[in-house]
Amino acid sequence: MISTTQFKNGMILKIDDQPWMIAEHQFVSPGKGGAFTRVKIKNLKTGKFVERTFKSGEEFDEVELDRKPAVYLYSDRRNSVFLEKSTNQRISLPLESTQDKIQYIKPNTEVNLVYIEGKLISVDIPIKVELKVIEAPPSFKGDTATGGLKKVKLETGLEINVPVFIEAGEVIRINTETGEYVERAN
Amino acid sequence: MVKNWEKISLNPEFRKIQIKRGEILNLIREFFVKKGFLECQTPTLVKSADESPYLSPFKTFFKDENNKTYCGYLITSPEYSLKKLLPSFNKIFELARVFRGNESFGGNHNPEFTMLEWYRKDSSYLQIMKDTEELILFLNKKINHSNYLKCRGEKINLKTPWKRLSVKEAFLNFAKINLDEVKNIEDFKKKIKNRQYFTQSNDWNDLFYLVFLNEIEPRIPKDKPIIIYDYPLPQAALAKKKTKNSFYAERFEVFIAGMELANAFSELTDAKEQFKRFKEEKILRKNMKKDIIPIDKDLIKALELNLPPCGGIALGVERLQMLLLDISDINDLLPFPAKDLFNE
Repeated sequence: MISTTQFKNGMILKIDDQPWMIAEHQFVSPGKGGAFTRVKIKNLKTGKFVERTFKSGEEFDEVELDRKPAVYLYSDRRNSVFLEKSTNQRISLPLESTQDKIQYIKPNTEVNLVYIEGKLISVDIPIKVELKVIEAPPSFKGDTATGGLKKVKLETGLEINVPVFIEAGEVIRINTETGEYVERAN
Repeated sequence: MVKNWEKISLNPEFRKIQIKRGEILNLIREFFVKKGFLECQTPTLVKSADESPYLSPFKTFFKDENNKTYCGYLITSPEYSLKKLLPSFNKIFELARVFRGNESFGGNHNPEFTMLEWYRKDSSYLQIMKDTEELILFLNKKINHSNYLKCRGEKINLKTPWKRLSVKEAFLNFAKINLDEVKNIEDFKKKIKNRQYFTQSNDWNDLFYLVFLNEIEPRIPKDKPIIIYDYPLPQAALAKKKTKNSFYAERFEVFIAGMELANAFSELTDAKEQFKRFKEEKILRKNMKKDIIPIDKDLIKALELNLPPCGGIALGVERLQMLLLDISDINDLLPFPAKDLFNE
């Protein structure tokens, strides 16, 4: 059972016998009542999004997930392609379901393919990844106009805000759950 | 992680937010002083925190010079203290630092925040509604130089009077529930049985909020401020009943851009009734396995001084600042959000 206090984006719950993925969750406390958790959830069978508010502390069944180790190979305009290790088979997932993940990973990154009742639904990527900065605007000493942050381009094409001291060529660590810069990797 | 104070030291945009926050505080004081209100400072550390079973006040221990230990709480609102001053002053306000446990670090919440409260003697929640409308229009004119507030993608017309909707109407219109028919928890449960709220709760207030948050709040118009008023009794521990046997009490909340901004009452000034409600809340706290907080006997005593009808309100200052400055997460407003202080 999963309590609302354990909710994380991407978590999959069983509600009315349907698999739902948490897309967003927010704590709500109206003051003159208990605490509540507002979620935006996606029905993994129909793709439909719904907003729901549950009482905090309520428990839900977790959907049985099957995770199979795989390696990310490449993406084209429509699909992302993975190599499933146990079967040595190439598996495709439509880009729209992988886009927010593959922006963080390079080819040959180890991932997990996620199945529900035999149906491939998504891919799990590492929470922390290391990526090389390929383009970074120069920073000047005393440059305060940008808030101590600047936008750099990473080797996967992703653009991200980092502290001004980061230069092109450096490898940085990124949290793929928050999309934020964590630290220098080297 | 770059913390907010670092961003402020480096970035004029973040600095500007802090300057505007300060201006808003000054303007709030200007507004109330002009109207003849007295600014009060009441304690943050008290012996009796709010009895509400839904609040989790911070408990603290400290010692005097003889090493004797005392147990106290940080206030969740300055309400109890301010009400004790009401017999002596007609119009009072306070900008108080308040603390609430079991709340999230970010979004619309932070464990420590600023509460603006104001109270009027010989008055009611109707006058407080007017004050609220005027205050926010005044602040927006000064800060954003307009009658319109641009916030969260909405252009909100602040022209007074604002739309008013009773809780009863809201439940009827948006959720097809007649609250008069669900006063009893069993009736309420039956009514919402097929609505898939997956709750085992036996608390009337939980059911009330499940319906409110799922079916009403999302349908409240967001292009104008809205005052939702007259809450059912279980929802109004410190408010005056509409009439002696009414199921509703004179409480209102203000919603702007879908966010709850303030909570107000025609204050309950009946000492006996207040004592009864405190005792009920204490039992509820016990049943919920929450800290037992001593009843504030001084507050009961103050009410025994035959207080005339009063109106009062608590308004979240950071939320107001977020609206006026179009900031959607409190973590982007505060220089030292709990997230920066306690999460590494």
